[in-house]
Amino acid sequence: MKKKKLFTQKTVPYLFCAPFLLSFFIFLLYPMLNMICTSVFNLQGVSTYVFVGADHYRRLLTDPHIVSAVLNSIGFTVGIVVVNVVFAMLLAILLNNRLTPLRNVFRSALYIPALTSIVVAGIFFRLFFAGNADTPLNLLAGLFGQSAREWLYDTKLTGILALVFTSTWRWLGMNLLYFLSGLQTISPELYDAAYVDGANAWQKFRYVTLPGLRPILVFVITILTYGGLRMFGESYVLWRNSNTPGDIGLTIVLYIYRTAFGQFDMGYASAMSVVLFAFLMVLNAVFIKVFGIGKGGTGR
Amino acid sequence: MKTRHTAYRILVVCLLVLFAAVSLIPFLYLLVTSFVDDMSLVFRHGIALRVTPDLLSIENYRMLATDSDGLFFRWFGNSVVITVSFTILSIALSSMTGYGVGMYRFRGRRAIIVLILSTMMIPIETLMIPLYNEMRAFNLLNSVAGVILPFAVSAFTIYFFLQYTQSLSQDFMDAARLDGCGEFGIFVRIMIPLMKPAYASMLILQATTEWNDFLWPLIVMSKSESFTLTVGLQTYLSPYGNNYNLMFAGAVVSVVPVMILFFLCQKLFMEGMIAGGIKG
Repeated sequence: MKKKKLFTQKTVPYLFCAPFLLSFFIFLLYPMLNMICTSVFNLQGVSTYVFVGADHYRRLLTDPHIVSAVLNSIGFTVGIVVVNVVFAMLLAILLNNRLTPLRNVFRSALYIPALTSIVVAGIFFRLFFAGNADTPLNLLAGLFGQSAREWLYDTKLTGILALVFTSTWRWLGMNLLYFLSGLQTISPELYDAAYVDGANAWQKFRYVTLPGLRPILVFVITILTYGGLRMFGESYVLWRNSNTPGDIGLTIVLYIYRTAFGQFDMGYASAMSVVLFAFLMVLNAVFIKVFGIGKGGTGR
Repeated sequence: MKTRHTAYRILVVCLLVLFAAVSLIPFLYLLVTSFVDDMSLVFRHGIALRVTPDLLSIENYRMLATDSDGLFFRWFGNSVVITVSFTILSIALSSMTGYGVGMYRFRGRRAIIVLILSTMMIPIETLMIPLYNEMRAFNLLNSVAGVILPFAVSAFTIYFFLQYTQSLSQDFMDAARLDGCGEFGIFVRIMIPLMKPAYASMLILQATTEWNDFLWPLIVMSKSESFTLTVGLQTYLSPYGNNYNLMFAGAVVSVVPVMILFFLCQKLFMEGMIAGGIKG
């Protein structure tokens, strides 16, 4: 007699997927619906909710902080994508080249910042961007005839640059690994063929490396775009959660956080989250359509 | 040819040394400054402070250990408990799903893959408010479960394992079935050992991410004795006065465990990330 098994080839996949589905319903779908509901109510007193309809959404359109936050977040995202793609790709190509000495040492050294928390990084970078005349940054500015400045409180642009620099310090190592992993998928024969055809270094990069890296490039750009738009920690630690003149360094998520957990205006904060959420879903659809992300993972 | 190679090497090493210096100098600065007792000097000179041996002492670390009846150790302990339980739970559950979707053909598979891919791009930041309310309703605020449960099943990790299963052969499964091995047994006894590099990569990635996580613990943990290290360290800077002595020493201590983990598993991690990893 053969023992009847509970999990057969037909049923076991559902068991394997159960954790994901449960988590999806409890920690994603339900909160999402809940958030949409909260966004049309206003909390009054301790636990009385008053229906306010689209009021919060109307308020969004006239809130000047939103404009600053959106501009900061977009500026930051563009900066982080450009800087991280260019440097991570360059470093990955160098570290993949057999002629480069000490490849493993450099690989680890460049990854190490990824091991720190934003709080620890913030301690250093707050001082790095400080206003005293003898910081390396201000000494450098002095060489160009600029006077020393408080980089974190100077202009919106210096604020964004400080954010991009701080984030890149922590994120570059990870993106470097992604590109290194992408480079492994390019067949060495292609380079041999290019060599036979007499291609120079630039042509090899343009016609072999770049097309080969396309999937990973799309992946990294996607991750960085979302990472940029959702950024919170860098902004929180660099300006110590205080209001800045002209909303320097205020990002979308930081503004939502302050509205929700600083002023306890949950209804308005929810409305902002709903809009951000909807925007990211649209962006998601565009990315999938344009770049065809995930096609590689669904094959077989 | 020979001289061109030498020139290339010199150029590349200079460039890499520059990047490595930028990566590592902040650590060096934090380490050295954490031994400077007189923080008014740090305030005045910032990172331009020239540290001489007579400025150094272990006073900051002694203060850290004795501050508020060893509150720092509570935070450290909380971080350890949260990181360990989160990592184990997350890797176990996420690898299960990734493996199930990758290795089996079943009804609804495509739909689940689409769900995984679209949730991968949903930032938790947009859901922090309803999730906070949910945790409050479940009475999980200020608890370890409240920090780890909502994000234990990570779409990104699932996707990583899903990709990794593409290097596994269905033949192993068929052979094991002929030998009478159950479906779950195949996973535990045959496939998990085959996916070891993937587990090593995700172990480091999840452990460091959770150890360094900031926003969610900041929201869930509001009592000072249930803070994690990142949340606690941040409170040394407050509108009521900054304590840089504790902050520098605490920052150094908080970095040490992940460094140890990284250097222990470095080789496996790099292999798993670079060879097996994301292919887009």
